[in-house]
Amino acid sequence: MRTPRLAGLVVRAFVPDPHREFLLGDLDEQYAARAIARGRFAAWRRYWIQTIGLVWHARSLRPRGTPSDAVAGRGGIKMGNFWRDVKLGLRTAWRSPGYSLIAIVTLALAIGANTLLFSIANPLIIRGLPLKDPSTLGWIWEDNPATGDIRGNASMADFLEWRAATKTFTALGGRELRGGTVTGVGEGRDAEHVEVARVTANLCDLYGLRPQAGRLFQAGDDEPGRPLVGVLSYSYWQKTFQGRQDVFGRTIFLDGQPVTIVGAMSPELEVYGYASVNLWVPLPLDAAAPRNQRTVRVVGRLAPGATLAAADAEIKALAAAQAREHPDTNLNLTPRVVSTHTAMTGPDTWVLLGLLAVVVAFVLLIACANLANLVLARVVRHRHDFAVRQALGASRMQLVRPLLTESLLLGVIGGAAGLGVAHAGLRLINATAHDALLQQIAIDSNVLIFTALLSVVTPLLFSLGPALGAGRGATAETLRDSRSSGGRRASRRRNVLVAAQVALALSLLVLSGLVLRTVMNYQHADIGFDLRHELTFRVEPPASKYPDDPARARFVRDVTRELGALPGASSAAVVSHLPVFDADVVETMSGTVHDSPTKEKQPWTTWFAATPDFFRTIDIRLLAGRLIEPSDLAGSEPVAVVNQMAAEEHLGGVAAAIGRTVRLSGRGAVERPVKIVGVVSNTRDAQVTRTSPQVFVPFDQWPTEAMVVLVRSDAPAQRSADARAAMRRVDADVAISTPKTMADLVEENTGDNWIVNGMFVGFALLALVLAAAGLYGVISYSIGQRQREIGVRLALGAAPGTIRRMVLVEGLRVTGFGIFAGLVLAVLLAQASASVLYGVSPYDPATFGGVTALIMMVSVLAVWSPAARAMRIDPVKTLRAD
Amino acid sequence: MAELVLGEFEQLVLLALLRLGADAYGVSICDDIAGRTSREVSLGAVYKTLERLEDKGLVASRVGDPTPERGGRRKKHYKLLGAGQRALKHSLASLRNMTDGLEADLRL
Repeated sequence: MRTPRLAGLVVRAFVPDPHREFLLGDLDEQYAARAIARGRFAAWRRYWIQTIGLVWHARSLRPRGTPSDAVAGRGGIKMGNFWRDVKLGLRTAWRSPGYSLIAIVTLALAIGANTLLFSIANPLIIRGLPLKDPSTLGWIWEDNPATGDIRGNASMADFLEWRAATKTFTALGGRELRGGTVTGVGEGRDAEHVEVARVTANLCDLYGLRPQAGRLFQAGDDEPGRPLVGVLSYSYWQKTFQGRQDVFGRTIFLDGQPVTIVGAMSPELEVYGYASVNLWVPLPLDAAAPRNQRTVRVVGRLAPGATLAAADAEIKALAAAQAREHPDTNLNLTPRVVSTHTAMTGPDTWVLLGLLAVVVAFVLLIACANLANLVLARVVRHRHDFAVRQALGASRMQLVRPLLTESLLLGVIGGAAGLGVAHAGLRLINATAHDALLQQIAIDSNVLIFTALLSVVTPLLFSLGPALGAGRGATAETLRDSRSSGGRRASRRRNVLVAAQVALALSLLVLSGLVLRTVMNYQHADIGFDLRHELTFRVEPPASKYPDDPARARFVRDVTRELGALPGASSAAVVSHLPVFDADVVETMSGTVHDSPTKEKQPWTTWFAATPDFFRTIDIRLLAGRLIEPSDLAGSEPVAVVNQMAAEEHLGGVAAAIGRTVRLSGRGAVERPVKIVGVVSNTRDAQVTRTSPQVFVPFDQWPTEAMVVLVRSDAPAQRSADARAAMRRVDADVAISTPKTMADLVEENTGDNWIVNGMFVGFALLALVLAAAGLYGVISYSIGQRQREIGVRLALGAAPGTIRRMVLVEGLRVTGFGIFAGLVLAVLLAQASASVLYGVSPYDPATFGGVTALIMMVSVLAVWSPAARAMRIDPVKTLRAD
Repeated sequence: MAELVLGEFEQLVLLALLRLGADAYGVSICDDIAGRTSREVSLGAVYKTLERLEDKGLVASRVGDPTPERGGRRKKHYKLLGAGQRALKHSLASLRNMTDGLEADLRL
């Protein structure tokens, strides 16, 4: 097993000789043991922590053969004399403040960028949810390849059958997140909209949840027919009940049902999707619940010895049996068991994080290349010094150590400053993010360890190469020629470093250009309806008060009437769920042109139940036929309106669709024949990127329990209070979610893209600036070194213009190599990022061309002033200097 | 000679040596202390302490043979000397005297 080599090098550099062998042996042994017990990452982490501890303790470990009482007063360069080196390093750093400042700022930006990204990745990769033993949890997703749905939920009946049959899980639990209305909280309080987590009683144990006060659920709490008990979330307990103990045992009403409060949840769970949960209640294990209501997210504890793959195979087999038995609801459903890591991150999260990791790693590499060039220049300048000391018998390590120590010091200071940079970045992200996870990201001990590591490793990266080069031979030659510029080899190494920087910067700029175009495309994507005029909120009239379809239809009529009559409102409508923003409700349709005897090949559409004014309110245009009308009541002929895509794909075109009768199922209801009476324009679906076939049916004929209200007016943001008042007039016991404008919803959904995008662009620009600074520095330096040569050329009659051209060409040749390598790298990066791009080809010529032009422009700028300086060299002065 | 006063970590290291006997070296000492006190122990701290104890004449060290699982590197074995055992005994006795009669308050 390979131990961390860099850490080994650090130990070798700092730990005095007699101890080094034993310590390295101990470290290797510990590493091997820990890698087996806890995995390689834990072992690696421990190795580094031990190494840092050793560097700290090494200052007091005695070098070989020194009696203990003589340690303090010894002179000369000795191994293990840590503080001496630090003092020397500080002094050298202080003596060249320009170099030190540049190094610290460069390191602060590069380490800061890496720390920032690591803090974002940290909760996803390392910390995770406060779950009990997350590595043995398996999460079950149901995909439906026929409809393209991924990461779906299971139905209660499916879940109960899995639970009864499974052998690879010792326990299976489920949860359902949705809204509800709480009443009876106290005198004079409005009904309140809350987010409710309905969980099986064993989920508390599966997750390892702890109550802050009172108790959690017990076995049997989730049996159907049991009186409901409820657990408050910590923040809801504090906010609504002021954290009082006397609420336990009290009864409140959730959607009209009495719930006895038994406890409050501990606050540590308030992350991710659970941050918004107010109330936890048991999820009734009702085997009779319809199978096409797939609302249960299932998670289980793997049996000892069972793997995710085994669990996956078992659940797939169970699902196949269910599909045979219930083909009308379960066909095509393909469950898969995934790890906690996979379950906690979005489908593109890894691609995005991976790309960002590449970006910040490149920034760090560019910074290292820059600093390496600076160190190289310093080494070359002090070559004579080194040679003299070497000639006097100094060992290579003795020459290199002060240099390394100085770099390490700069690294530590730069790392501390980088922590500040990352902190500032995080504050900005916390303040602007909509996502609960991004709002809570903070610097914790993992991040601190990461930054400390970078602060130690980075200096080694940029100073080890040049420093070791300094210790290498050729002393006699160097001593003879005091004005050497370090020769061909050093200058070639510098050029390679700069070309590499240009290549890295170019590929980063291309990548961020592509991401920028993607975000702009999302922003300008035509969703298919107007966003500026609607105010929207959610309502779920309690089943106790509105038990049946006629009651709900009456409620909806009252709502549209009251809201439509508001001053400034031009229309109001109710729809089962919002196009674009809500999860799709997908139903199959039969009786189409593609009819097929097997259910799995049946066309499917996204399904909406809407009131007549819906289309006017949201500004969807009628293409043919008619819209849903007030006369389409529960008792009249069932009708439907489809969008253009559904008409063209399933019904033989816009004109042919009108008058056709199809059979449609909806939300647990049996299939019903409906007549297509109209075709409307397309709207995008939740991903904004694609359009799906859609069917709209009259709300009166297919009423739903939960619904979304839409009010159209010229200034939707100002109608919020009016809308609340109107809803109170309809029924004060019905809670509504906070009214929001459509534009706000879009912002909430896509606003966080700007954070990711901003990081891409910010890091890429940082890379560009660093690379330009590197190019400028190297060309300036080489002009300085070649003053004599240029002086001779000028004295021999070379025109100043020729000199300038010569310098420009030299600089641009280096850039040219960099651009070529960068384009190759950019193509590779673009290919890797294809899945997160939208509306732009990974090989977008405009982006590639634009970035190349930008790089060329910046390189000309960087080279121009040294070239101009070369032209003005006074040949007489330079020649006289010899 | 006046009895040496031992630091807390020194006591832990000496106790580990006593328990491990001939098997005492960096990793095993580390693991023993870490396992019994459930705290992470730094190798650097252990070596520093051992060196100090050796200076005080409480422990002695010898270099062992190279082993393949350590990349062919040798171990440094430590053993408790008589003086070390006495110092440890004294230290623990002092501690016991200090806790005498306080068992109830400490819920020992």
